[in-house]
Amino acid sequence: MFQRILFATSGSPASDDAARVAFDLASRYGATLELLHVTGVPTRAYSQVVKDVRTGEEVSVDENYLSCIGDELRSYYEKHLAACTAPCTVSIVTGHPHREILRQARNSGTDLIVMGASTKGEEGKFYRRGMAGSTLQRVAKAARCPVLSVHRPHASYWGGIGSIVFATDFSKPAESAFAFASKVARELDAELHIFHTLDIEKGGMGRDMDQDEIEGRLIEARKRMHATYGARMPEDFKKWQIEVWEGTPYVEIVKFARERLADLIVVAHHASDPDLEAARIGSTMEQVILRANCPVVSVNHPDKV
Amino acid sequence: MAKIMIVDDDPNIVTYLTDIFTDNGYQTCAASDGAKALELVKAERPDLITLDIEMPEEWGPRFYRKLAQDPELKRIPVVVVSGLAGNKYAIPKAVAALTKPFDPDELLGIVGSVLGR
Amino acid sequence: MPEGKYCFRRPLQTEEDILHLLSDTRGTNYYKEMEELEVDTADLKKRLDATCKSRIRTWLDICARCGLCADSCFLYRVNDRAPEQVPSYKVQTTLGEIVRKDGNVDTKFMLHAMEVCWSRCTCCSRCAQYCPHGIDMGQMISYTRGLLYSQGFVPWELKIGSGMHRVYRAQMDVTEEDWVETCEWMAEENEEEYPGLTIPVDVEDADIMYTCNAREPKHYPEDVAEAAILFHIAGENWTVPSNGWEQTALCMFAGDWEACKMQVQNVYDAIERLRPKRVVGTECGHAHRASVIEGPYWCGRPDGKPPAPYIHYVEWVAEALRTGKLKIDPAKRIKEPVTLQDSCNYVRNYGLAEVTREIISYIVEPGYFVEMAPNKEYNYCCGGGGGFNGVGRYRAQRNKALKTKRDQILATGCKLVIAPCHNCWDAIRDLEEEFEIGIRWTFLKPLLIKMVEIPEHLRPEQEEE
Repeated sequence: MFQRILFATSGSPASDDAARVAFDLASRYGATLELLHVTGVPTRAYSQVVKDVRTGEEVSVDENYLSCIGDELRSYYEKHLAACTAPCTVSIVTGHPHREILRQARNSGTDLIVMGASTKGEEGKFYRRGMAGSTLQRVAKAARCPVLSVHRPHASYWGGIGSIVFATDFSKPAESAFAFASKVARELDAELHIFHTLDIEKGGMGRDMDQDEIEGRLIEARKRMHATYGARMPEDFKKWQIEVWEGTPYVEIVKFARERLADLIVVAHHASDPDLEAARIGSTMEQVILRANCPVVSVNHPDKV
Repeated sequence: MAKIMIVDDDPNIVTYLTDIFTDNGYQTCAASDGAKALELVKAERPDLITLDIEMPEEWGPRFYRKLAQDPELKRIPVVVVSGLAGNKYAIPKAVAALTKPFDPDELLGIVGSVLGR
Repeated sequence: MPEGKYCFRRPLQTEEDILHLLSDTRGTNYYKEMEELEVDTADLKKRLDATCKSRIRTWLDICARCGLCADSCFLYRVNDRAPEQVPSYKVQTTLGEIVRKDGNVDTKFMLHAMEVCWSRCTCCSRCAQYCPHGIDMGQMISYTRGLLYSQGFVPWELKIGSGMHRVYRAQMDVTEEDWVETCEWMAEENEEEYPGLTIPVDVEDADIMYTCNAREPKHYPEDVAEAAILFHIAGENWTVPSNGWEQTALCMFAGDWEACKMQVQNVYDAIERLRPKRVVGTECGHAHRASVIEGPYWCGRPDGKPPAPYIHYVEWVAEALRTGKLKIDPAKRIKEPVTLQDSCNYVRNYGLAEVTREIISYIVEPGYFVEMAPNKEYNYCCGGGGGFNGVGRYRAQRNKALKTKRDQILATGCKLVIAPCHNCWDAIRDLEEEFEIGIRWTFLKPLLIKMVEIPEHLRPEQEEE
């Protein structure tokens, strides 16, 4: 299922939960695991100076510095590396994190990027400046492969994939997300819950819908999901079902996944977000990632699913 | 006599818990990961399960999901006993979540009240 | 010690040279060795004879030390009006001395001159507008830098930067392969949102050939993508050269004139090879100066012009807005107080002040644009020009210099600064980091992309709700 996993790590506790998932997935499903740490953001014009993302200190990049950071990273993940049955490599680079993650994924033919959720506070301060959107948003938008992220510690406590919630809004990126979710479900013999939320605020266009209308729309959505997705399920795969709830999408997705004890949520990323910074807080994807009890995969492009 | 199933991959924890429970008049059985636990729970029908989160093959939450999907097993109360942070959110429907190292009296109190003793 | 292991007169010519000097982190040994680097006075004299011609000699002679240039210099003002910061003083005590002594100067003098030329002047040439004799001190300092460079007295980063141009024909180690690959990558990354988007490489006889700054492909290729998107929306027939795409010249900051010629000739060769009708450069000030203003002379072009009309990005944007190739959605115009940073290199020294204001008239809701004071050709340097931004040895001086721009921005009351120049953009970024005044800063490209109307036939297929 997964052949080449790229784990983009801060090499700090902020990435611990994502690390648990990355190492577990690689070992469990026989993928190679590439650890990537973007250590410094270029600063001071054309100079060789970078801002160390962990300390905020200015450092001069040279071979020695990079190999020191590599050693630090290896010792930070010593236990994981020792226990991991998959081949692991470590890369230390400098640059703008989102860009370098995308570059590496492209060069390595990565089929899954794993990263911690948006780091808050100091760590993000230095490179976020003057650039819209979090690293995660930017990677999720442009990556050709699915991007998995983990925010709450216990979201990483599943160990493998056995029950997937695919949340659809019937958009074009949702097609790619469906392709990924259904492929993972079939190959790993997992349950697949295809889920849609009837957004009662947007759906009502500013007025309250009455309950008949809501339930009428739920029935419609179910039909649409059967037609859109059910029809594409291979005959020998039976472990899928369809559900539609009404509410605010991110709340319902998180609740539904918790109720079904899902260990993976797959959502579509929206490339059309006009302003990443503005969309950052409000987007369904970001909210689901922040709140979910399991890892969340966002898919935007159909290339590598 | 009430029976408690201990699910943990750490043999020291299993021994420790077994001692605590047997000293206090419970029967016990034990499994070292989620997959083995699922077989054992069907055979032993315990009255309560203590469940670790991270184990070599099948992790705790996955085992819990299978348990919860089985109509005959889903009512068995589960107490999470794990060293991981935030474990009370890992299985929200567990009757309690304790973080290692834990106070044995607290565990016995929880078990006692759940089993009506 | 005549020449050291790290510090020597000859330029960096190979990748090994560059790596070797880079291995001397922050130039610690380089600067230590420089303290004992002997001056080749015979060579310096020869160079003076060959290059110090009537203009420079006359300027030095007629400079009356009247001090009218003093107040024009932001470094003089920001450094408590220290006499040592008066432009005429800075020139007379460096170049003036070298000429008067006919090259007979020592190491100590050269170290001092290096400090003056790279930490007390950004070659912004604002003072030239105030000199009753029309002397351009920026030009004089720039010329002095060339003398210092030829003797090995140049800040570490600029020695490396200049070497990069010699080895890679780019200010950073971006090879032709890296560049072409980046173009493909950026087209691929954006083609879904902009169907049909391509970054055409080496197309002959195109209307436009685009050149940029190596930091774009190296660190933020989004900029290349944004340029492509805007050309695409404007319906331009454009291309980038596989070789000759790098427009900047750190070697100009370094005073490495030989490398300047190599660098710009490379771009001109691309123009001659691909025969575009025009060339458009990126949002960079010194790159424009190097490739459009000074380049033709470095390369000995008899008409003093590049092989094809070569315009700055702001000229293309203004034209595209004027002719309707790019249409701004009026609802998306900037509706917050916003100010504009005038780049010395293409505003004061090339006269594009009104062009940038024309752009402002399209993208800012009337009433929201606030001029800095002073502005246009009288605007102050961002504080990091002429290479100042990247030199670690003079960081403290540079940070102090940023206060001028900080106070100018604060006085506008704006939280958004448009800075269509890499150097200005960097300096403003750094001043926010240093002083935390709570501003945002931006190039034009991302602003335009947010507000430009996409013609019907270029939109992606309508998504279902």
